[in-house]
Amino acid sequence: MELPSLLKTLSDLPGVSNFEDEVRAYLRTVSEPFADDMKESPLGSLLVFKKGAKTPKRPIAVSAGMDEAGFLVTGVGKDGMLRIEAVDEKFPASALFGLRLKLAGTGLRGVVPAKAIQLTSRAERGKYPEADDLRMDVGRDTDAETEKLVRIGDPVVLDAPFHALCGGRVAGKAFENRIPCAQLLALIERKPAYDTWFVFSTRTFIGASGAVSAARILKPGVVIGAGSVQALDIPGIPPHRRGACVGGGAGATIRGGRIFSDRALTRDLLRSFAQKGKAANLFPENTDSSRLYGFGDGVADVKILSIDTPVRHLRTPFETAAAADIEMGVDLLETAIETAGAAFEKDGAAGGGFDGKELGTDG
Amino acid sequence: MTTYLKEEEKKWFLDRLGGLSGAVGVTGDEYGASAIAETLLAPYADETRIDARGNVTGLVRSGLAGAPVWVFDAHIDQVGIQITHIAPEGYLGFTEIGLDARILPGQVFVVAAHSGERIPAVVVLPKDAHAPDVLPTYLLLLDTGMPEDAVKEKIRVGDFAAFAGDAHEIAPGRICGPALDDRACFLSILAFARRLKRSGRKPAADIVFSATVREEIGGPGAAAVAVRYKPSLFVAVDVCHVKPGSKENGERFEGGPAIAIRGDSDDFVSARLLETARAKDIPHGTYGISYVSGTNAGEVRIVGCGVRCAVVSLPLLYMHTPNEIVSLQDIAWTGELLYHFAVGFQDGERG
Repeated sequence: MELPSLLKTLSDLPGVSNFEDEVRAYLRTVSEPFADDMKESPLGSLLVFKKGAKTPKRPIAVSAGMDEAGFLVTGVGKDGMLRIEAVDEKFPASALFGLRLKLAGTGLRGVVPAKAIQLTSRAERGKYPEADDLRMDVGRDTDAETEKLVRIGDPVVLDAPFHALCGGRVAGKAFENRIPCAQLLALIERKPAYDTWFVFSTRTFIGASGAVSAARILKPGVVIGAGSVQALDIPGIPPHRRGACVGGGAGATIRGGRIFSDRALTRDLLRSFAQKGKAANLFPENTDSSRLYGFGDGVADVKILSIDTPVRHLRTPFETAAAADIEMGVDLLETAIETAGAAFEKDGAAGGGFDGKELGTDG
Repeated sequence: MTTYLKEEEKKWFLDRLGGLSGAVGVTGDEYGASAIAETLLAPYADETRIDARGNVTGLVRSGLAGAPVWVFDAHIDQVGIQITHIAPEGYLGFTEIGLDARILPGQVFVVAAHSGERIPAVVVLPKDAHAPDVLPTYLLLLDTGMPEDAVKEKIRVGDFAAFAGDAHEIAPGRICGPALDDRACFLSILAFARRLKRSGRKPAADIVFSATVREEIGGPGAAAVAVRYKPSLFVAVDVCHVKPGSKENGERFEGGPAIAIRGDSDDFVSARLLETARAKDIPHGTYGISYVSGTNAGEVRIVGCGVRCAVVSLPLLYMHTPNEIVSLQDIAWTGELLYHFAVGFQDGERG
C-alpha cells in the first residue's frame, strides 16, 4: 500500500497509551500477508517476523511505538463537562485551549472550552488556562446526561483530520509514532537482507513497558528504532538549535533520552547509504527513543541504531512532515538491517571494531 | 436538551448549516459566504441580489402600493485572521479579527488563497517551547507546511483565513462549529422566509431578508443595505452569550430567542415581538441593553433620518472560537417568532 494512505489511516486511528487495540488490529491486518510469523506480547506489542535472504547470527529487531499521547477522563462535573488529564505531561496547556477532542471508543466529539472574548477580562486574556484544570465539553448540560455516554478512565484523543498538503507535505495528529509504524509496514512488503522482527510497541508514552516486554521475548542483538525527530525549522530558532528540517531528509540519531546509538553501526549505516548514492542526516537527538527500546534496564549486550524522520509541531492537531523524508526513512531502515546483519557476519558482534574516526565525517 | 424538531426538519437545518459554517468569509472578504447565502435564499424570494460589498438581499413584495420596507438581517461575515506578511521559509505573519490570542497556538485554519485554493495551516509560536505568557498575535506565525516557493506562488498578503473545523452535532439538536455567529441566525431568517413562502400570505410591507457583511467591524454592510432599501423597520438577528449554568431567560439553550429591550431596540417593536411570542406560545427570553447592542442595529439606526430597529438574539456558547455551539431548536423558534411577528401586522398599521 502507498505510504501516504497508510499514514492517513494510522493517524486517524485512536490509540492512547494502553488503549492501542484499534491500531494493533490495523497493523496486524496490513502486515499479516507478508509475515512469516506473528506474536503478541502480554502487554499488547505486536511482533512480526519476516524471513530475509540470510539468517543473522543474532536476532535483528526493527522497533516502532504504536500509541499516541492523549488524555484520560478523570471525572464528570455537575455541569456535564468531563475532567480530563494528559497521559503524557508534555502536552502544552497553551496548545489545548479551544481545541477539539474526541472519545477514543465511541468517537463522541467535544471541545476544550474557550470562553468568549467578550466575557473575558484583560487579566484573563494575559495567561493560558492551567493544564491541571483541563475540561472537555461534550454538549450536555448535566452530569446525568454525560455519565450515560462516558466512563472514568475512557481515553480521549485530538479530533484532527489528516491533511495532504501541497509540495509533498502531510499533516495530522499522532505522527510521532505513526510515521514509524507506516515505515515499518512499507518495509515489511520488501524482502529484507536478513531475517527481521518488526516490533510495534505499546505504552511508549507511559514508561515503555510494552517495548521492555517485547525485548525480553526476542532477545535481539541489534534493535533498529524508528522514530521522529522534532523539526524546529521555525523563524526565531537559530540554525544550531533546529536539529532537523521538514523536507531535509531522514537520518540516524546519536542520542534519544538515556539511549545512545552504537557509534560504529551508525557510521557503517551512513557509509552504506552513501554508497547507494544517498546522503542521510546525522541528528544529535530525537524525541526520546529510549521509550522505543526498553533496553535501558535489564537487557545488556544489545546494540542500538536509531532512524528518525523530522516532524514539526509535535502534539498539535497539525504535526507536519514531508512524504519524501518518510520514504527516505524506509530506505534507511532497509539499509540499517543490511548493516546490522553484515556487522554480525564480520566479527560476530554487531558493530565491533570502532576505528576511532569521528562519526559521520568519514562516511 | 429538549428538541421538538422532526427528523426531516432537523435535516433541512443541518444540510444548510454545514455549508454556511464551512464557507470562508472573514470580515473584509465575504464573497464565498455570500454566494452560498444567495443560493439558499433564492427559492423563497421574489428577487435576490449580491451588492458590490457582498451583501445578499432577497425581496418579498407585499403587492401594496407605497408599502413600507422591513429588513430582517443576519450578518454572514465571521471572525478570523488576515495574512500581513510572508516571513522567511514560507511562514505567514497575520493579524486577527475578533479573536482571543490564547486560542491561536495549535489552532488549524483554512487560508482562502487568492488563487482560489483552500489551504490548511496551523498557528505556531516562533520558538520551540510553549511560553507561559500569552504571546501577542503579531509574534505568532501561520505554517502551511509547504515549501517557501509553493507558499509564495499560492498565497499573498491580504488573503484571509478562517477556522478549519467542520460543523457537527455535538449533542442531539446542538451544533458545534465555526461562524455560527452569525450564520446560524441567517438560518433562522431562511426558516422564516420558507414559512412565509409556504403560507402564501402577503405581508403588510415589502420584506427584505438580508445576509450582510462586515458586522464584526461595526456594521457598514448593513448600513449599505439600509441606504438602498430605506426601511422603516430593521430587525437585527444576532447571537447572544450562553453562560453555562445560567438559569436566566434567553441565556441558555432551548430557551428560545432572547428579545432585547432598549438600547438599539425600539420599545414599540420589542413589545410587539414579546406579544407575538406569548400569543403564539414560542419560548423566549428578554434582556435589557443599556446603551448599544453591538449588532448591526447600532449602525443602521442612524442611517438617513434614523431607522427604527430591534434586536432578536440567538443563544450561543463559546462565541468567536472555532467551537461555537447553538441549538437547532432555538434557531427554529427564532424563525417562527420572526414569521408571526411579520405577518401579524395589518395593512396601514404602524410599523
